[in-house]
Amino acid sequence: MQGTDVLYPTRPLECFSKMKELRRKVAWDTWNSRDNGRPLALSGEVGATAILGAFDAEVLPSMPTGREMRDLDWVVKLNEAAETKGYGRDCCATLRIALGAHFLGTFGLIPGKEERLVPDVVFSLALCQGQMKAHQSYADHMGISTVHIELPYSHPRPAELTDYFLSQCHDAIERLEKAFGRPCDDEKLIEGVRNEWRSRLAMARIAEAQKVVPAPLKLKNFISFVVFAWRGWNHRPEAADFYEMALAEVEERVREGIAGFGGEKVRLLHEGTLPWFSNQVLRYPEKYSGTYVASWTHFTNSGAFYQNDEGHWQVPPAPWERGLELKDRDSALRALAELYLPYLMNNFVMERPEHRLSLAQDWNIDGAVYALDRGCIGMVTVQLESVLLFKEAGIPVVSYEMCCTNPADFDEGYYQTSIDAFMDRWR
Amino acid sequence: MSSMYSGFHEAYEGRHDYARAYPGRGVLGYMCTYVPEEVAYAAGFLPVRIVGAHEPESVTAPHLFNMFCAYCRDMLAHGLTGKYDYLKGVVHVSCCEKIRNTYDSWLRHVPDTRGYYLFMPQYIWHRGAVAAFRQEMEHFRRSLEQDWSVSIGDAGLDRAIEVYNENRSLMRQVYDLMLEERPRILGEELMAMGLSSQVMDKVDHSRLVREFLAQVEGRSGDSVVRTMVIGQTDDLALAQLLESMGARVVVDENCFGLRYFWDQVTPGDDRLTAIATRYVERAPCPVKDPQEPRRRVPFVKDLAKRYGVALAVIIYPKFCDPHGYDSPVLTEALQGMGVEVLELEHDFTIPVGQFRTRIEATLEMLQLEVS
Repeated sequence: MQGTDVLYPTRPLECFSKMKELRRKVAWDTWNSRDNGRPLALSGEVGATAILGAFDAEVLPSMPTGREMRDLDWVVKLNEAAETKGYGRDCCATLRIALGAHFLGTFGLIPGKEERLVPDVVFSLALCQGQMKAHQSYADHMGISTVHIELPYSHPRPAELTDYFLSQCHDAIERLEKAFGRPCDDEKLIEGVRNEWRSRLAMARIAEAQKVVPAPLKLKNFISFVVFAWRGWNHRPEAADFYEMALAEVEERVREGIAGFGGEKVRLLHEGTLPWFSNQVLRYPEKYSGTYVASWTHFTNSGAFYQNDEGHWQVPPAPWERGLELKDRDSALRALAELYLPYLMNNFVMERPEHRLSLAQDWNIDGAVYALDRGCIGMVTVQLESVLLFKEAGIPVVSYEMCCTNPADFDEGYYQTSIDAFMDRWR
Repeated sequence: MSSMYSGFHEAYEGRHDYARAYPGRGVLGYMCTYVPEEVAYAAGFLPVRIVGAHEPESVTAPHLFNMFCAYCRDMLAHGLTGKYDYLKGVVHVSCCEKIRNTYDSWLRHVPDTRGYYLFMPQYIWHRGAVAAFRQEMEHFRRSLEQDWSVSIGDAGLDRAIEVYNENRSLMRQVYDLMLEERPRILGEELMAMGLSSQVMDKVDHSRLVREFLAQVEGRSGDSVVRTMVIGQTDDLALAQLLESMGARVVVDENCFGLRYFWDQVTPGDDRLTAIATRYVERAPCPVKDPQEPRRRVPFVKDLAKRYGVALAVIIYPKFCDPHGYDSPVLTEALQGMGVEVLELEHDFTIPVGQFRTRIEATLEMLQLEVS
């Protein structure tokens, strides 16, 4: 199967130009936050940023950005800087980058200026222990406070601890009012929650569209879209509008049989995080007519799903589609709780193997590639149990080790050799 | 000093035989000390902490990624090879992700294991944390009642609280003796006491502690380098090594020791709330201390000051990220108060030769005599 035949028509995504324009706006708004009199939060990994939107706050991302990841030597230096201060390689690799940048004096540096942005507060919807511990370190070193909203995982009752979640949200608002020195605007909160729902539902439906053969997008296109979630922008109307626009284009591609990859013969699942400094990993199987079309990690990080009684993934209806009105702070926060407790499948740690398997079946996956990330404990938790379950189910699977932000922990040649051997079965 | 008390060592070494012969309803294993043991005990179960044996293993690689700590691998290896075949079930609370994987793998691959999982807030200072944990404990109580046709009422919980509190109180008496300028107790005994308390009925363990306290009465003390062990280790080899060089573990901040028993349950009308409060407010492990103001650092500093510590050994399993986040902060805080700090990472075993060199060098830096 060496070389690729063109089996399906392709065409560039029209929404990409809009996405690039918005990405510039995201960065611009962050860099100019102080000049614009906006509060600033270090945040962005998961969501609930509607709460920040209620204060007109901008987000300085704690996740590494493309600017940092482009320069491999620089990435290595950031890792080493964190390590020198005692934060070893077992600490969250993603967030260690920001710590490293802080120690090197470049974190929050505004391009073209000598000036650094110092956030007012660290804000996070906390999914994993490492995220909260890393944020604690940021807060220490920057001399600012943290506001966490912990996502409780009550197994097997995901919505059981809604009251705990809500009480944290209410407290977070009070603490942000103090940190930002301004009141929470409930109208903006309601709008932000509505937009977070819209963004996640649109992303879920884009993910659903990937079930079709040929898949309308390459997985790398899908992951590009996730940028607004990672930049803490899902609550903004521009982001929600963009995701709905992207969904409309993807649906049109499905109707017209337009493929993300024209040579699609082998549909692959890429599971786990990615080595963000390498842009060839997702493209590599294409030389064998294989293409990544799905990822539990990225679908659940960006979309809203639940597993129905028959074990299939399903996109939930929006609250307003069920007659629930977002009319005040409490109802908005309840809608937020619903979005992130029962419908953030990423948080269902012990169900992950079964969820991954049903995803592979529903999305017509031929084989799975697991990235075992040395720097992300949250993602590798029960990952090997997923590998075992795939093997039992007869789905070919291969794994490779890497670290999402540390080039020193990724051997791209080894990855390619593994994929060469893996794809041979479909020759 | 008279000869070392062997009761704790014998109890720990004989833990599997003891558990197999336990006359109650059976034995439930747990992997983290945030499990509210009192509830299981009130149901007639013996809760025991699952521990490994510090031996290399070859069975966990398909289940646990190779950057998971040896502590997890050691536990799971014992489950997969049938060392804990007497357990009626395994209870786990949310603590670190790696142990959650270990628990999940145990349930999937150790036959006939019934699992009980409780969410335990990481954000422990939040005003809703006690209520959230209580809610999870209520499910735990109901699950035990349903699965084992048992009733867990106030009387049973009261007795469990009393038994556990008495044991905690007795162990604190032992730690109080370590405040003496010339301690009469070996660190190895201290650690063995903590370990054995986690694998036996507290009634039996309290009897051993009383016996130990009586024996200590007749001892004379030694002049030693007062040392604190911080982090996580269940390997007595560390205390043995330190004490072979003139250092003495006078206090620890270890979930196999002080962190496990230091705090009592304050009885209240609602028993589950009382128990939940104790677990939420207890001396925190690094996972449960993620926000400012930090709780763990002042707690460790206070212990170091009260026990007159000259050397702090921060030890934790290789690949343990929660301890990895706290270690730089603890080091800075302790050095700031004039305590020498040595950070060690261990794998399945304590690398005695390598650690000896580092401990010797540290003691020399302290400009103290090495015996």
